[in-house]
Amino acid sequence: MTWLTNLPIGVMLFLALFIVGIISGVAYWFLHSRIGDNRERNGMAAAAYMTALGSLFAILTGFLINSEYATLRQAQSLVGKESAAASRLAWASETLPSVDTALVQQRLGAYLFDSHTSDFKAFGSSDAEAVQNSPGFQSMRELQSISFTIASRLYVVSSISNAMEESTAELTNVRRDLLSIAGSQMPLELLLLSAIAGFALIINALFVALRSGETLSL
Amino acid sequence: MALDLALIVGISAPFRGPFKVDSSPVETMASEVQSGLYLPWVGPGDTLKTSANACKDDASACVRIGPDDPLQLAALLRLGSSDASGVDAYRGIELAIDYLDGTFDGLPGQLFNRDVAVWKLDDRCSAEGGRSGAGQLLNDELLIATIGTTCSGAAYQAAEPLFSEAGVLLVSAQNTAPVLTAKADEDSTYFRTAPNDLIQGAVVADFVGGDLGLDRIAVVSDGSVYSNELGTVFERKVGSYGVEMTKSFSVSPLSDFSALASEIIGEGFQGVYMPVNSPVCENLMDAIANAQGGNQLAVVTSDACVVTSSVSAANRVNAYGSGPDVTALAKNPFYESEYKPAYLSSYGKEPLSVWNTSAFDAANLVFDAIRRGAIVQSDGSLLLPRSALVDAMRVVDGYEGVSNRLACTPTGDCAQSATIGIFRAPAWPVGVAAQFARPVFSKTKTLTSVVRGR
Repeated sequence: MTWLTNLPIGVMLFLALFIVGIISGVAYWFLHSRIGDNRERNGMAAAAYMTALGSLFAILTGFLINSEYATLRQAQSLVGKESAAASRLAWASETLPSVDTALVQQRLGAYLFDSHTSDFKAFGSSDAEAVQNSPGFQSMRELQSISFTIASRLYVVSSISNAMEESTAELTNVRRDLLSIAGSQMPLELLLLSAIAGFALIINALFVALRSGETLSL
Repeated sequence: MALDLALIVGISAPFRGPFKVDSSPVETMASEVQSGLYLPWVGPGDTLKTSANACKDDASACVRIGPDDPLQLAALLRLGSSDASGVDAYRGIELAIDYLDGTFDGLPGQLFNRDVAVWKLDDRCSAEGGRSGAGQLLNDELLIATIGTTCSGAAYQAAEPLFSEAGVLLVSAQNTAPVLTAKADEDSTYFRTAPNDLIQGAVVADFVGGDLGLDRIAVVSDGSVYSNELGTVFERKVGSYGVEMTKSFSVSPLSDFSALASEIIGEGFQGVYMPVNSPVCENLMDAIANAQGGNQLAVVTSDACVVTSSVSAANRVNAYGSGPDVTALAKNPFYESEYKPAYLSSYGKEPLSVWNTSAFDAANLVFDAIRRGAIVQSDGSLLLPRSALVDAMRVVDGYEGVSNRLACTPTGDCAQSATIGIFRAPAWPVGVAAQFARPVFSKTKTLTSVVRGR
């Protein structure tokens, strides 16, 4: 599926129209040559199924679109959360001795840079090794190490220490959640079911169309 | 149906394809953090906008560091003997490198996943030493910055103009002579974390003219820029206390110290202020101790003499030593809980002088400038525009260092205030008695207030 989801929207749309068009064309040619004198009877029977098949297709596709869009929105929301957690950590580190502030922020900057340049690319590939070897993994480890080490020191007031620990933990959680989303697959069975419902609807529509003669409508 | 299926496939992969997650919030945050927007000593409006294009136009304006090359720094300090004042500053640099990984574990840390290498050269506490050291260091095209010099005389009209001309950052942790930062120069690459002697001279004058209440004071100079300048500041300020007579004497390492001590005592001075370097300092104190009536004389000296090698001589006279008040460091929790134990564990004894902390801060300011000025290339190499490093230093305002709160002015002064303490021997803040050191007089002054004469 990776190759398919990597396609640009134009190509994806053309491909979908092409496949659906081919199937519809072949089905039309086949039905037209075989339907013979039963055109009226079949057409009336097919018209009765139109609502049911249309609803089934709409429900299935609606469910899939909603589910996939929710995942996309969740991922986008996690990106926002990552940004917010990074911002909280940066602000919290401000009150540390400057040498510590610089260390925390340097590692935070490195993690965010790696996250943007490497992690998102790795999440998009189907190669699990690419995710494990992403520089973001090592950057996160270094950020965690410095952040928790400094936060645990006695000279850091507890409110700052808590803020640092919480925001670092939040960054870790977000990365794990993004990884989880990246690894999740669309339910192929549901997609298949939806496609079958769609094709059944097309064929059914062809019966209805053939009832009224040679005139076709999309 | 085709549109529906295309849409489902299109949105099904949040990290690829046509409808994917927008990572620009992370990208924006990364660039904000890396540019220093969240650093309290930088802040909005002062972040750097570095570009590799500047390096394409003029390759010499940038340092290009290969993926496996170290970051090359240098220390141009007074390193002649094991207890020379530059040795302590060098220890501050070593501790700063150690702390690059966030812990004082005795192992050097890394910056941008690279080691930090440091050339060591002796400034010989002279203009000639400063010039020759600068000449040698500037031959290295990969040199990023230098911490130094120790002696003001090695920087003034010596190392400083050479580094500025080459565009290479020079940050001193020990230069205190006012003349070094008297004028703002756009092309200067010089900064210092040591407090300007306008502050020390004023505080010593407050002590001598006020607390000690002396009327007749001799001022001794060893001819160095440091000595001449601090003596002049002191004389100018102590006059406001109604001191009847001050007289200046000049000495050199080859002078007849006994004769000078006898002359000072013979002329009826109640005290002598001698802001001189070692070994002139201990030689003159020994001579005063051996002279008749020497024990009646108040001997006041300053930071260049407050070093372990002078302690035994100071114990033989009625000596006072001025310098940054190290006891104020005890109020700094980072110093007490992390830095000082690390110093003790690394070097096995109390600090040799007060300068290790300002050198630690100087090195960390250089690291901060590198972090903010570096451009990471796609092949893993680093580009460091030299002007960006200088610009990064110029905008520093409110860096909470170990030695001081630092804010760099266009003239190069980064210590805008200082707490100067006067310590009475044997409880000087260096050597074996350092842990018992308590100032008999301590005052905090800002550079602005002493410049305005308040």
